[in-house]
Amino acid sequence: MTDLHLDDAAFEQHLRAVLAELAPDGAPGSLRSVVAAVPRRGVRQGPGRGRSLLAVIGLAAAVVVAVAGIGLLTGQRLVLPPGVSSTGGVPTAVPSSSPETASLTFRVLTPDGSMATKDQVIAVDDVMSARLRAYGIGNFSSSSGDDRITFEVLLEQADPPSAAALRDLLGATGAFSISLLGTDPVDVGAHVTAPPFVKGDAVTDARTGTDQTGGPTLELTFGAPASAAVAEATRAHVGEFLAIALDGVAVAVPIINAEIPDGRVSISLAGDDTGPARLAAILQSGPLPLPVEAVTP
Amino acid sequence: MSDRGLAIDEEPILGLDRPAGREAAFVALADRHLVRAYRLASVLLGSELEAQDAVQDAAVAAWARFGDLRDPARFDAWFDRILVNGCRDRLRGRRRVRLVELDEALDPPVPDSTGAAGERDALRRALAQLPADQRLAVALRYFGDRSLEEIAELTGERLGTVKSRLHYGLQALRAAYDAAARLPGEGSR
Repeated sequence: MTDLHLDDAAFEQHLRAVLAELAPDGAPGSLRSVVAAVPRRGVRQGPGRGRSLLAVIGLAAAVVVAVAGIGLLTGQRLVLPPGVSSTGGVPTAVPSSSPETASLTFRVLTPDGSMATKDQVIAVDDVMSARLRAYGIGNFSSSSGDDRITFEVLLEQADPPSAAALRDLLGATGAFSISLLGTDPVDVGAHVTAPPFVKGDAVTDARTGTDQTGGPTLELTFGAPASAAVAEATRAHVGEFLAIALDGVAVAVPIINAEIPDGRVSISLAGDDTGPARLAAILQSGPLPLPVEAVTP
Repeated sequence: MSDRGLAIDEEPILGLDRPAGREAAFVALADRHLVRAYRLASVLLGSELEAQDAVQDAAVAAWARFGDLRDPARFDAWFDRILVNGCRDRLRGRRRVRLVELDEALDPPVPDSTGAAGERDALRRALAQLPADQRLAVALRYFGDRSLEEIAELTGERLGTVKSRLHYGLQALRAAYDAAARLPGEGSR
């Protein structure tokens, strides 16, 4: 054991640089708020800390907005009487012409083409609202009437602050699936035709992260049934490809290099930084119980 | 860049001896140390998101034991001990299988022609593969610039154990670094 003192300045320099790369420049304001609130709460928060943090952020934002008198409500849902459209003269909290606000309307689709019921619309609204919160947006309102749901979102909360990006986030059905591809992979973004061995509401926790090279990762935890299926499939198919798909489109095509025994995977993703956050929000909130279509002009 | 936990040039926190001031004192001490703690946790865990959880957990644990802290000037080191142990538990609890993304599987990374990037890539990969205790020892020594004695105190391990873990951790990293440096067409040394 003689190598405690590094005899190579270059090696030490590289090691220090690699470690320093992992250190962020500062701490998020949300973390500062949560730590400052620890003495008042005095209890440990439960699992799913990301959501806890967002809840705190949302609460703080709600207080600020209430004081300012803007009137936007944190995740509040306004259920309108049957026959009253949300666009039919019902006042909204923030004028849709406000440059900082996105007004997004969706129509809930049913398999037989009939008008969605009030309960169906509320169920879809619940998941879409959860998806916004999982994306870090705690300050929004939703209203529903007939088979339509309208969200009013302050764009400054969104990254990127784009109404189109929010429409994509909310409009995705979010049907998750994993398929075995054998030794013939498909491209990311391609439609997956191989039958899935895991599908539905299989993900219990989804987070973003970074790998050792600084690239974005998606960290997933599966529920018990899906975990067992993943363990069995990966044990029997080492060296083959998986397609991890959302709404039938491959978002990652990893190769199986070992059995995944515990239902927890970290997937390195290509692309920009916002893609993983969008995926994580969709997977965290689960799939919409019914598909929707955007009707915002 | 050094990230030592103690900062001796900061204003003392008053009011710790009064029950009414405990909460304010804790918040002030924690807030003052937050960035250093978060940076340290990010390096130890390799994940900023998980570091947020670790710092929050450490804050909750620290508040629960705040009455045990005799000397407020020792808050940073005391907090770091809680944080490091929490990070170690998290690292030990990781049994994730890191999947290899398609592009990487089909097109293995081409070593950088200058050599330096390739060697750093090798170090990053080797660091991610280190056992939890070795990673902690290496990170505390070469990011935090802690002495072996300080690492032993932070981790609650014997000095000999810390030396051993640092030795084997560095040995693994050095092997990966040297292998990358020997690849044809690169090598910065």
